[in-house]
Amino acid sequence: MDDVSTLGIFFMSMAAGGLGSMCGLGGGIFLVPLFSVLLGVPLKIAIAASAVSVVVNSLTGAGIYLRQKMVNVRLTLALQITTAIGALIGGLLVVFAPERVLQFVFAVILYVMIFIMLRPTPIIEADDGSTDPYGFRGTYFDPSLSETVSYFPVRIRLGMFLSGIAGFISGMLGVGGGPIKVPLMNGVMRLPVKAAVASSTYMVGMTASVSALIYYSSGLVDTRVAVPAVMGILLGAQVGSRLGTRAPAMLIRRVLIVILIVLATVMFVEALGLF
Amino acid sequence: MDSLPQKATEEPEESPPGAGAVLTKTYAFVSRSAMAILLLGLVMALVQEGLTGEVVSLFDLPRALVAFEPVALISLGLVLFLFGPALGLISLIIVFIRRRERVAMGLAIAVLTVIALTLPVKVFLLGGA
Repeated sequence: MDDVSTLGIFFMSMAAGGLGSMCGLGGGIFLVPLFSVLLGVPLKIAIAASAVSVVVNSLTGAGIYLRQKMVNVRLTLALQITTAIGALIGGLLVVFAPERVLQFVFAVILYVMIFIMLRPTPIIEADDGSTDPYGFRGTYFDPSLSETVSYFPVRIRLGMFLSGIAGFISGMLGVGGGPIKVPLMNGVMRLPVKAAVASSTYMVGMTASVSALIYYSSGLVDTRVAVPAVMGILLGAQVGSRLGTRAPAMLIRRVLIVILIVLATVMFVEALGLF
Repeated sequence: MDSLPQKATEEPEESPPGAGAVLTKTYAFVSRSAMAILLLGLVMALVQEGLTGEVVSLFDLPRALVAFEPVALISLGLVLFLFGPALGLISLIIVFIRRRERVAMGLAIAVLTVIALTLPVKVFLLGGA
């Protein structure tokens, strides 16, 4: 690994960390192709470094979002149960499923999520008197609005079910669940986009930590790749999550939709064997 | 286009109270400790022979740390990062137990259990991780 490659890993990780934590995507989905295609890092080493980086990104980014009280802790725990079970089953069944079929399914789900995010969503009355037995109601201060925002998540059971599907597909494809989680929480469960981004940033770390520990114990974590990646993503996440708290929700939403369209299209083209 | 959340007037409250604050402190402590250890190991490694690429296995880590090997410090830093989310969950469980919030405690324990089971289940079924 030469100095140029090390610097390349550092700066690419910084960019991925910034974008990933700003949009709640983790950043791993950008790092694997960048490392393997552009820098020639062996795929498994790239995947392992990416998994470690996603955990670091989550710890750093979620720390900042938690300080702003944007993470809905209880809701993320409920969603994480089905996600983790789905990811475990998906990871075990990965050998039985053709990768192209999975990519196709993943791309279709992303397109559906983008469509859901593009639809206008009605106001959810946070104080409409409805019961909240599990304490999923959320409140945070939005610096871009200079106001406190209160919301009430809906369709919890559907959200948990879809989280399980997201975990299953993620486990099979070896990618983080962020690209599905954010639109799921925002478009289906009606969380404000900033709360969805913050909660997703917290969740992706839990999912990725298991994979990363498996890669570590398998000797796939190469310090020449992982160390500059960790440092880069740490800096990027600091900037990205601060931008995520301060930027207008509409801007984050637009950036997120563009990224999701690109991701879904790349995956769709790959599934068709055209790329 | 946005989800148009209702603008409230009351002061923000954590969900549940105390959990977010404890989680913030845990994540900050883990991140800073892991980064400090990793940087120390990196500086020592660069002064000596540079990064060789390898990490120390979890079983061999205590011995390598006692020997104060640079790669052991780098490995410890990485491992601390990787256990960060689990440590966060443990801190949440302690908060929920203290506050007697059974539902939240059950959720946190369930997540930690599934995550803790994932590693041995994968190793057992897929063989050698």
